[in-house]
Amino acid sequence: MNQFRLVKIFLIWTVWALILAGLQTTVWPLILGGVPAPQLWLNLVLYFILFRSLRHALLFSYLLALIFLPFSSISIGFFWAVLLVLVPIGSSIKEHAFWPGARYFAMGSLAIALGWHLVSFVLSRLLEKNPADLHIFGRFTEILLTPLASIPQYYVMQWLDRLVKDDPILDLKGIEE
Amino acid sequence: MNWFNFDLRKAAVWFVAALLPLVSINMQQRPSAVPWFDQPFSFVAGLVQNGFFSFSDGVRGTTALYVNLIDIKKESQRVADDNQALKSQLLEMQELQKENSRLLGLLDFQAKTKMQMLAARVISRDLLTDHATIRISKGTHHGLKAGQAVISTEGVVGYVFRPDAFTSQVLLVTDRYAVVDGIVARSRARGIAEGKGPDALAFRYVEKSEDIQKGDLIVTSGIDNIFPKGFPVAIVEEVENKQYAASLRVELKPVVDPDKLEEVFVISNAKEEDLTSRLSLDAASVEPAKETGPK
Repeated sequence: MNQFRLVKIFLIWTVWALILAGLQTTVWPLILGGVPAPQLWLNLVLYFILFRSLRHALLFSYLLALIFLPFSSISIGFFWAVLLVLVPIGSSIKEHAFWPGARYFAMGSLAIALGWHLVSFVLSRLLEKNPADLHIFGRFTEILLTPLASIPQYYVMQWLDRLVKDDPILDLKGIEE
Repeated sequence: MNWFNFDLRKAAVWFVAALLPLVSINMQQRPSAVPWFDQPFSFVAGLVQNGFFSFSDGVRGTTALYVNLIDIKKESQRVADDNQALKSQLLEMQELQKENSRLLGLLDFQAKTKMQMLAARVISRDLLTDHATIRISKGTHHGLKAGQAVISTEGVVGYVFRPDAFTSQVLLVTDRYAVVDGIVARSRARGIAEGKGPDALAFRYVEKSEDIQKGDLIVTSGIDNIFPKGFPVAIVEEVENKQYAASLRVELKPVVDPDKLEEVFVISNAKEEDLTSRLSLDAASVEPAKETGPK
């Protein structure tokens, strides 16, 4: 992979990540006010988990955490800690059961949304001085909305992969090596 | 010609034929009355005419209705378009009216205070449920610095967290990482208001002997030199005095609803401002942020 292509891939995914974060944090509240937004950024993390090797997925998700950090008050250490738990679990599940398609992606989205809330809540209880509260309604709404938003996202991300000719199947084979 | 050799039957027929009109003319006393023998025909004729009329009237009516419907449809569409345009104009006007009254309130607030303030618009919310930040439309380019207080006309919003060149991230008082030094407006009991989530705070380190009741207003103490003294932070929702706890457990509800924030003020210098006297006038009007459903 030459350097130019690497930069192109990085730039395209960065722009996509920023678009998702912008949609979630600016457009959604502007239209729907206080209604919890679907975690669009999590679907991007999921895409990397499903269509990249564990090593690449972890690296990408760490980079994504850096990109998403200015959109929240979360500390980078905590963000990475949650991803460090989520990405290997997701990758391990994928190795046992995987079939490419929007339906599987939506199921994965539901699982990762649930996983994010579960892991971040538990880690917050363990690591933080002022841990997170339950906020059942907010979390539940987010968990339900995230898979709904995942389907159009899946097709866009597949298209982006084709655009940069970053064949996900090749990377997928790389997992088994 | 043999006069005696005539056809008697033929003659009778002619006779009857000639007699019938004469008799009927003579018997018809009222011109409008239908003769008895004509009544069945009249009835049938009435039925037939009625049937035809109904049919033709129906056809004409349907045709007219169809023709009218085309016009009505066009008219209805035009009226609906007009109605829609008027409705949107009305909504726009109402929105402008609200914005106008909000901006007037902000101007009034800015005019009455000695604090140096900068108005900013809220442009986005936090990415994660567990955290509560907003991004505002002013940054270091406009003179903002990390740690500056952010308020609205209702009360404390938070403080500048990560200022960028043209925008800044504001940590809301409801964020778990946010703390504000506060006092109870009524009893002057001290404590630290600490964020707990999207619509809740906790008032910590309050001595068990302190007098705090549900509905009390928590205001800024001003000792941090960040927030003006006596500015509303939250309303006491619940007070619990546990036997073996070192301090009271006090749950608060913020006076500002972050979901409804559109404009805020960033305070660059709050040292000289004491809003305690103003608060005594306004305290009655201070209400906690209304429930909009948890995030």
